[in-house]
Amino acid sequence: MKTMGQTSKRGVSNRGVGTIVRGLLAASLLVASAGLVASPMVLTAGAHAAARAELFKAGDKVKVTLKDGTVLEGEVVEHTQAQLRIRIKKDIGTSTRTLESSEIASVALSDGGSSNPAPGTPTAPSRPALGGTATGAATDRNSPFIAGSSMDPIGEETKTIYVIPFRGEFGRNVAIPPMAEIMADAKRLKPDIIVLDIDMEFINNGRETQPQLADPRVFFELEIVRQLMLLFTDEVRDDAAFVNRNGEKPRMVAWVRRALGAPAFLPWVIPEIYYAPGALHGGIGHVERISGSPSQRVREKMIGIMLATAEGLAIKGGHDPIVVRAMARTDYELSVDYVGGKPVFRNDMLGQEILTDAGGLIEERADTIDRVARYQGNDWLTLTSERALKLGVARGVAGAMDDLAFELGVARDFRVLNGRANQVLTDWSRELLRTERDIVERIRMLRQTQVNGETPEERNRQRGRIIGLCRDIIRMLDRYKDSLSPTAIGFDIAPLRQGLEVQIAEVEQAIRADRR
Amino acid sequence: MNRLISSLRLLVRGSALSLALGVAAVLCPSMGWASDTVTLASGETLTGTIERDEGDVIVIRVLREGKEERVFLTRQEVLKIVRGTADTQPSKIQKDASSATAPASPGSSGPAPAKEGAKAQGAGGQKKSDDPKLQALTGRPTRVAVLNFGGPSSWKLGNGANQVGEMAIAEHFVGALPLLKKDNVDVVIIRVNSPGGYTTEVTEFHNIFREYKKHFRCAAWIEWGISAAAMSPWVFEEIYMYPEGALGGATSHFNGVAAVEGFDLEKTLYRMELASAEGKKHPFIARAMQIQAALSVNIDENGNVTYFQDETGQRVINGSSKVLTLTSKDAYDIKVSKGTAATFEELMGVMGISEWETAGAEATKFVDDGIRRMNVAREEIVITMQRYQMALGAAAGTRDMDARRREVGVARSQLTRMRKWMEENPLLGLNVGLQGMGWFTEQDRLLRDLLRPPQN
Repeated sequence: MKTMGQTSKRGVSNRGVGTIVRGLLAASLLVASAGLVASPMVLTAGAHAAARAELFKAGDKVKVTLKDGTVLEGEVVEHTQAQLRIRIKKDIGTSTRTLESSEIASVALSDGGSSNPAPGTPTAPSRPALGGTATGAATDRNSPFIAGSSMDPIGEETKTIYVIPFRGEFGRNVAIPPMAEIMADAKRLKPDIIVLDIDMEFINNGRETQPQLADPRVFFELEIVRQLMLLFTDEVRDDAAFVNRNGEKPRMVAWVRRALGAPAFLPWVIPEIYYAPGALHGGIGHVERISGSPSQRVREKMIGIMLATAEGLAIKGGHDPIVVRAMARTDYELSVDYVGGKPVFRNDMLGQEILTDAGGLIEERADTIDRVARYQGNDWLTLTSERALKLGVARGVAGAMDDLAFELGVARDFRVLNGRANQVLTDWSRELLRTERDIVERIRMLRQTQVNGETPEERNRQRGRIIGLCRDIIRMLDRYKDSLSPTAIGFDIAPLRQGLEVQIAEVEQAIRADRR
Repeated sequence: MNRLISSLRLLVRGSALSLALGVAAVLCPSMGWASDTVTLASGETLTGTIERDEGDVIVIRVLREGKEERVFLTRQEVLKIVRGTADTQPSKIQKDASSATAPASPGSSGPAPAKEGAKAQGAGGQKKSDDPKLQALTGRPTRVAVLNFGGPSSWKLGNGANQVGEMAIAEHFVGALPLLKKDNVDVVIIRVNSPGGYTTEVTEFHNIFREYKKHFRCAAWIEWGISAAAMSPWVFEEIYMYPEGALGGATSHFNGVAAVEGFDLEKTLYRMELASAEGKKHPFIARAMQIQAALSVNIDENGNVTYFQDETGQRVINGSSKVLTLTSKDAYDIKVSKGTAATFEELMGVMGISEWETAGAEATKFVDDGIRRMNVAREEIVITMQRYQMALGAAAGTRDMDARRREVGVARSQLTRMRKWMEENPLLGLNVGLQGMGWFTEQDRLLRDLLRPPQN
């Protein structure tokens, strides 16, 4: 018998368990919609693309040496004064990388031609080593370029801020691989403050799900949350080289605009949380519905585990876990008194302000749909910026970067660093889309590949091709697994992978059997 | 290493479990002996000490081949019970039991086994001690080893990993024990990160951890200790938690559908009562983690905690309809956890170890390598079985001996993989419907037979 506190894999769909690939191939495939992930990151040359460099053309094969010593080889997509975009071949497919001029030490044609500019040749404007561009001017958070850029070096007293945008779908756009790459970039730039700029809502498989309502299935994302958030906590703490210019650890700050559904778990491990005006933080209610087991005891076990795990994130960040509990449960009465301006929580409804009224348990108290739609219900707790401030969750409220800098106490002299975060996430989203298309294409090729040669050699060559296609798909599934969209591919990931393995085994056997 | 593990297995494991008798090898501290007799409906007679006789469950502690065992019986199996007299000097016998004693036959009021907690000699003949003052006098830092119970979150193994009995297995800790002793380790930290797993493995963990406690100061450090992963280190007196740690949620169930009930539940509850006694934790806590049971506490001004299995205490930790999982905060408040630590340095601080050095690297690697091997095994055993069956079918389906030999070769290589995995961890076989190694013997015979030319 098994005793389990089990968590489901991401991407559970209402389709049943998959079968082997041959059966799957017979079914109609769902083609990925082009707009599956609307990446909000907009690449704009802005004021920096005033003149185009004539150095390299699209299609040139180049070798790029970065200032940190990394060497990249690829094909030029676009080259401007400010940026060089190159397409790099990976094990499977390609990826496009955008490099700021400030990162580049030299570029050369792969055939040996040098790009090092001769004396007197106009060059791209030099940038401070840290890539800092912004003064304390207002920030367009959608642009990788900071308006009002300055080429002045960053002073010793200037506080530098690295912003990491959390956008799109949790587990897909916000996933461990791109976030690890971003944190490596942050480490390189040695910021004083790292801001997790969270603006995420309920999205599952590229579609908005149950807006304004709570989705208890998000609790199954907790294991991924736990592993992801290590990047911003333990791994910074334990990496002696992850420091600012003064050798100190950077401040970690969460800035919440929208954190609904699984993203609601993200800010809790960060000690300093700020909210934007109009922020909403929640959508994790109805944890009581997390398990469909017919056994009430098993259901209660799952609820207890998930709650304690979620509350543990708050404890890690130094926050009161009771707030997380109220966000998750609808059978819970919680009210608050304010004593000397500080919240004192009560497990009843006798406090000055009722936070939750166990409306999930007591029918006459259940929220009406008009209140739910406006995030004004109290069956479960949704944090607004005002409420977060009153309850001591938020340290302050800030609408723009200037305001945040003021709240952080650095408004006098700060600079937002021009890191690669936006670009990494854009590239990752593009890679995902391309990978999903590649997978669909390879499945189509598998369906079309016939084994009908006249000799065993011919037939086994075709079989070898089938095995190659299967292995290609498996490699792509393994690399991107938690981030791929089953809807886009047309199959659940785990059954597809298993079916491909079986397919390979069958074909290998056919090869063995087909000899003279 | 396999032979070493096998011989160690004999030392620490009891005989195989069966549902009807439910035998588990347990070393029970501080209990006297009586001459109670239980006559079974089958005619068999058991003599020992009846520990429980209520409802449908009878538990009698007996000696078999010098080892204590607990026999779980249902009322229906028992024909007659005769209560004997209790041993008059149990404490004296336990004091004398620190030296080796001859095994006692069942029914005699023989001496109790060696008292737990006897410490081994340290390097250079110096007696190791938990007393920090003595450590300072001997002038050497405390040697501390960390063994992983499941891969830590930093390994990023994803969902579904680290299950007890699949990746966290007692056998690895059996194998690590001599490596720890060889390296003169003083303190062993078991770092727990697991969503739970097989209940049967909990008994194995209790056995090996009891052995650990004889040689080292032991502590569990909980990152995520859910279900069987909460139950396994429960015999430790010292539990510490990560700030984000969670501990509990130990309801036994069948694949999430049905909770374990009746006799099997009673066995589990009882084992956890015993583990609670060993780990010096109130039994109400483990009970609230296993079934829907309230837990409330009073905490006085000195921090002393009084526990209630209802909601009448000043602070309700778990409602009567809930199953308990503790956060690090609650665990510390009610004295399940002795402290919270985010880093190893913090842990040393809360454990009162001021001077330390890491040790037991070989043991740590042994366990970590085992976790990684089992991770590969759990991911690949299903497809390996499928490959085996395909090759076997193909071999049986052809009369061409060359083709048959090729397929038998492929089948053998897949069989070897699975056999190796299951020798290390028999429970892995449950993923492919196997219980025990007998199936492999049968397959070996099948494959041999297939290599004989077919008779026309």
